[in-house]
Amino acid sequence: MTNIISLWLHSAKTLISQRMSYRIEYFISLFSMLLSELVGFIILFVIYSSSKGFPGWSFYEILLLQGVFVTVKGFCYALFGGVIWNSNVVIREGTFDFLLLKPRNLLATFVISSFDTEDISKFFGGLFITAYAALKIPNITIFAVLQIFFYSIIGILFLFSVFIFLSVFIFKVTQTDQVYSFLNSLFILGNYPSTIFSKSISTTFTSILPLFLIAAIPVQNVLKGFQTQTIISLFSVLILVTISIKLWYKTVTTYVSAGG
Amino acid sequence: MKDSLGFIKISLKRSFAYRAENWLSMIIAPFTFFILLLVWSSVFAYSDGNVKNYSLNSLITYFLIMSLTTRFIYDGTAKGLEKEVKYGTFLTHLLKPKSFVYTSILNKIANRSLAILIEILPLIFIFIFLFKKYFIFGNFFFYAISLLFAFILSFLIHLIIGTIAFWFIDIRTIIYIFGFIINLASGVFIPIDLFPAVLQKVFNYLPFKYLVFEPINVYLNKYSTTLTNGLTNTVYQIFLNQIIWIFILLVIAKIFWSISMKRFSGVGT
Repeated sequence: MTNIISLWLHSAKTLISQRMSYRIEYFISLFSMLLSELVGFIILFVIYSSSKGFPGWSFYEILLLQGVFVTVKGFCYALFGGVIWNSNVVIREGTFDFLLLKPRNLLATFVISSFDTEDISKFFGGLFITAYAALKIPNITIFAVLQIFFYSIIGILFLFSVFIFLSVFIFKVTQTDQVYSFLNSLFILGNYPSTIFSKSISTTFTSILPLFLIAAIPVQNVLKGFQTQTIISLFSVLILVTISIKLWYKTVTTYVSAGG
Repeated sequence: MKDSLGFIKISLKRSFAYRAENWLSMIIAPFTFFILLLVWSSVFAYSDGNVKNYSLNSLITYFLIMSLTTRFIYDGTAKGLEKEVKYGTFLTHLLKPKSFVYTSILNKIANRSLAILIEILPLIFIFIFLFKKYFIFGNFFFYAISLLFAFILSFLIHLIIGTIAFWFIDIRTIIYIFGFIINLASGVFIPIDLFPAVLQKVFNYLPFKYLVFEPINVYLNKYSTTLTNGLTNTVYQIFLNQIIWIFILLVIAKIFWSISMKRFSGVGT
């Protein structure tokens, strides 16, 4: 484990230094990544300025939820979100062979080599929004915000399994950018509290595909009282992570180095 | 004519290389609408069924038509030009008997014709089938006319953005930022009339709303189709504004293009 962490740190450092060789382009790129996350906030602002909003939720409470969502998403994208992009590239170009030759755990090497330097801005942007919203909500402490991020750890595991499942999918279909469209659509849902949806939707995305664990459940746990579904969804996440890893290794055996 | 058909044929073959991409978009697009429907249903239910000038049905129809519109006017000219300039392959276009602009527009026609067949038409059927309850049948004829103007506008805007590559070479991020601004100001994320008044005023001075927002308004019958009360608030006024913007952008594109040609050195990176 220590080996993997040190390898990850080394890889992240190298990739950031590489990107920093074209500093201005890198900073513009960081800014553009942040821009893409503004859409959710713009829509939220428009919803609250032109309607009553969502039942039982103030503007700043949902802004806090969205801030947490972007922070966690930024963290996950930077750490292992690159596996989607990398899967597309290595399969199309047939360069997955290089990873097969390396003397480390295959999945760990693949994830580490996929570190995404651009998405760091999403993480910091999300933190800024979270802090801003928390300051606007009465009686919310730093401890409460830390508690939210603690609950989000399960959400991070969930996102890891989603990214690995999508990598498996790309291995099967060779080249597709549609997985990003799929993720973006799914993430729209994660930007809102589970309580505004019907019971069936809420249960599906809390227990079966626990998307609400990324931000909705953690924020609801702190602002609206502990949700018992948190425990059920923890088991779902563990099952999803196990299946995704097993499936990834199984799929990798079908790789034929041909490119596409 | 024979040359043009040849170009279109090659573009069609190239576009068809990764077919899974198109099929997948047909599954993902309804999925996106299902999620949008869930979110907005909650907003409308809590706001007594009305958000500014929109009902749930008109807003869902807006997003459905938006999805078809953006697919039809999609343009890869800026990205293509950036690549050609970056790798120096743009030089080959200067030696060919047909210009880059000419081949690019043919490329777009071929690419989007294919999109109509394998993406847009199936999506129309899927949308009508799945979201029939919410779908408002609007003015297809005038919408189609407005869409053709939007198609040309989109090409000119992306051509102008692409010429920035002659100055900065790697403009992927610039294209992305422009894309974000265009999406925001054209009503892709949310209808422009839901934005605060100040932003609406700013967007009125830009050509982008004629790409998506206004063609959808034409579809939704928000403008009169008769001239009995003059040109104001009619579909003809929208067409006229689109033509004026096409003319303005054409002039800008020509100026940018001629300056770019003087700058290009064919070295690549």
